Amino acid sequence: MRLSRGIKFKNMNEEQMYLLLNIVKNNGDIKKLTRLGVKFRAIAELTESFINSELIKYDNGVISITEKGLDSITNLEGKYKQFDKNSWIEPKNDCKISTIDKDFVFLPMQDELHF
Amino acid sequence: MEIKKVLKLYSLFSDKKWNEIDGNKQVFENFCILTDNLSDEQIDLMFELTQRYKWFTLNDYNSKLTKILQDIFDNELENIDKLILFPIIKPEDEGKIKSGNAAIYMIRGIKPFVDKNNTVSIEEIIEFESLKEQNFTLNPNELIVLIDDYVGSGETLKATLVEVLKNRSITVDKIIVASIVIQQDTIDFLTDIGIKYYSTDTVIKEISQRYVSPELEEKVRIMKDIERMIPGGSHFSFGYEHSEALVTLIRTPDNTFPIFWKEHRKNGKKYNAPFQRY
Repeated sequence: MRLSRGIKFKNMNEEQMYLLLNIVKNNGDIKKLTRLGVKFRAIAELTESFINSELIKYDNGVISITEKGLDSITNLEGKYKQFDKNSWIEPKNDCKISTIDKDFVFLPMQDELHF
Repeated sequence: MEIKKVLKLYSLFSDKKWNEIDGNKQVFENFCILTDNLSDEQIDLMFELTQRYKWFTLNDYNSKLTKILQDIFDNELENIDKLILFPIIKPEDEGKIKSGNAAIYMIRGIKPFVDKNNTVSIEEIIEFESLKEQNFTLNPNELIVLIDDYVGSGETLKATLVEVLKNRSITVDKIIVASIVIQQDTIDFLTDIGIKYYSTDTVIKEISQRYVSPELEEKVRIMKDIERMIPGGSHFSFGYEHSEALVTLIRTPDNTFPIFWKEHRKNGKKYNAPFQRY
């Protein structure tokens, strides 16, 4: 797989690479990747390979995107950028609860309390 | 979670060569999830503790038990030609499969490859009943070796000693303790009562004996905050008997800080520990 001119990555999902570069560029959260099922180990290994390929740099604990990394984002943008603004914010379906009858007395389970 | 935190943890795993250990991937995932659930000051303390954390694999057991057995053969065989191995175990745990039994089994396999192995015989005894005075008399050419892979607060060791010393033919000068890891406080106890010990790794209480005031109080406060996330954590606060250990062996001893081996809870959801025991 070719991400940027002259740089090859084996067994990497191109969309995940695009997402990771964007996360670095925007100093964002990696939840977007973990929600897709990407393991932390894979994120760490991909980040390390990006550093070795000079797409991103890591100095004194600070990670930032390089010019080469910005070029790669531009190359991939046409394919993966979400232009549909409705898809920018995803519904948090895992937090959705089923409708409770108005006469139902709700007693939370002790081990499900958040406090 | 910020990517630099994942990278920092990944570098730590690489530096400690944990990436080469089978099963490390699950440990890494759970470490990252735990990190994601902690505040910045809690993460800093966990990184600090993890840098000093010892994770021993079965390969390590082989080399460490070989060294211990060689040291015993080199130092203890004057007028001794028989070692009687007994696991460090509480009387109430007799009959259960414990780490001391596993260590004895490994020594059985290691012995033929250790120098001077032909000059000494080894007998394994695993029941207190067999060591009782009516069933057993220790001869002058014999030595009792109490075995385990980890001796922490010394509670289990003391329980074993109390039982073993009920046999009047066994005296403290005829007992040695052999364990891969021994906590410093227990070494001091053994030295006080005149029992020799053999180990490859000595550990201390990793907060209370590592830091001095005011840093000490600060680290204690942060760890107490972390432990609030552990359901039932107060029973094992700072590890069993407040051992404050940072060790994983074949199994992680409960002497280790519980955040490393006990599940934690955040916003009502439970998460597995990096080195879960069950």
